[in-house]
Amino acid sequence: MLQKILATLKISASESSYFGVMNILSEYMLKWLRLLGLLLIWRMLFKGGADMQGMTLNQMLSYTLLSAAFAPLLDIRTAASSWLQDGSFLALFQRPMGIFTQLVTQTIGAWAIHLCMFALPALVLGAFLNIGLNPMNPWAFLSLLLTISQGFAVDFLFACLIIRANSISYQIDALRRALGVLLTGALIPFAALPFNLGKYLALTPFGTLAGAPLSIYVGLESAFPLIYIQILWNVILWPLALYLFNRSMERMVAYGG
Amino acid sequence: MAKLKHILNLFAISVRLDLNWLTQDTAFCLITVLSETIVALSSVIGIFLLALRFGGIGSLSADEILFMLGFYTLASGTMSLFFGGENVLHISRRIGRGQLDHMIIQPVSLPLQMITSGFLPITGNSSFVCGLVIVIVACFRLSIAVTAGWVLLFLLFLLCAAAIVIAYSYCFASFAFYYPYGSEEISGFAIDGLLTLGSYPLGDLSVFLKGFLFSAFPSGCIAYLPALVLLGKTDALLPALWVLLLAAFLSALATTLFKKGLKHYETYGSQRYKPFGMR
Repeated sequence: MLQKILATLKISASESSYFGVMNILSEYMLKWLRLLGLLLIWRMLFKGGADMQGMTLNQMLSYTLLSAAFAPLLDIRTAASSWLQDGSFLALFQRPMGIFTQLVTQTIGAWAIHLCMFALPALVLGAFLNIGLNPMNPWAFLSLLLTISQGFAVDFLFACLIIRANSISYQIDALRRALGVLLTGALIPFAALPFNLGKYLALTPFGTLAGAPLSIYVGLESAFPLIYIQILWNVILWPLALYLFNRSMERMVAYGG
Repeated sequence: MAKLKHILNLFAISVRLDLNWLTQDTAFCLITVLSETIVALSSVIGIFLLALRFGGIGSLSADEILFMLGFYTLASGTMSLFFGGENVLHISRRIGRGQLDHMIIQPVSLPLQMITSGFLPITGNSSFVCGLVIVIVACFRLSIAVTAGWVLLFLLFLLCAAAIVIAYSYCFASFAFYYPYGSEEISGFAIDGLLTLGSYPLGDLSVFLKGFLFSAFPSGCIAYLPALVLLGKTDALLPALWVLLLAAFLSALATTLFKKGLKHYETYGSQRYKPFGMR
């Protein structure tokens, strides 16, 4: 089993984009633009003397940088959605490995490219810009593990939704991409949202994805209320994901090969 | 006159094709429009929530940020409305997939096809309508004196913003004539790159960065600079002239590069044909 997992990790990590190097470079250029844009906005807010209510510039900058650098870990997107849309999901059933194991392994393997091409350079940039990236609370790493676990469960639930909503799968995916960044706290820390929105979003399954480990890491929130909520969501969402996926398999529609 | 009638007929065909989707599969069409409306709003809501929370960003108040974001949404909505269909905006896809021949064999000139075939008045109006509503709300909140001159300036900036993004897309899309495989999605990246920073207020940046974002990578000219002028935060003449000149320059550059690419295409064609992505 370990050999199969390692082989899948290796294949996934070395898989290049369908469109080649230029496509990969352009994708990462966009990520850099978004990161730099957000870093500039925080600097402008602080420079403009905005009342940050106890939040420091370093907290905001490190939150933003880490959110971008570790985005694939904080908001898990397996290939399930795209494979369901193009029908290649069926191939997973023909391999001598569990479906979830394949999806999880393939996703983790794909992190390698992002970590090399973006995360590492982003951390170097952070050091260059004097952004302090030391963790304020080591429990953030446990929170990250819980986030990754919960992220897979949420993604599998979305896969079930896409199976059931066959003809509007693209729209569901587009909505998730658009809203996920805001609802997970990846774009803006919950502490920086108006009308106490952050307090309510932090309790949702989305809110305890990116927002939890990042907030604990930079010291915006204390660890244990969030970790308890993450454990609770993991306990609720994983059995639900397994049950619904089992029920959805019969409804899966695929075209061609 | 006959030419104008011909153009209007071509637009009417696009309207009918777009309407077909609504009449043949209404539920699916409405869900798509709704999801695109939410996607359009979500692209700007982050910046607006920050502005609300902190009473503005840089020299712009929260309502002024709202106006800027409304203009941005309206500009991107204008592009989607008039050029969103048939991959006209993302022309590199058609070139890269070897589908340009579909256009060349039509008894309508390429420029005319590009102007008329992308029109999506029913399903492509989400961002346009959202942007319009946001701009109107912001104008009321800011008590902007909406004169005829102001409206003309607004429309000029809107046209220029759309022209800048489309021309930028076409400049990069010309690579697809030479590298069809690797450049298939290059238009998308060029557009997304511009629009990513297009919704950000650029207030306290260094002169060098501002210069870069107002020229070589003109995302500052999409919404930020027009908003400054329309809100009366800066002198109107020079920025308006600059945006107009930039739009004209980029359009001319895009035309030149595209024509060069077409010449190359005439000789070498495309070894690549992908039937998906239709049109």
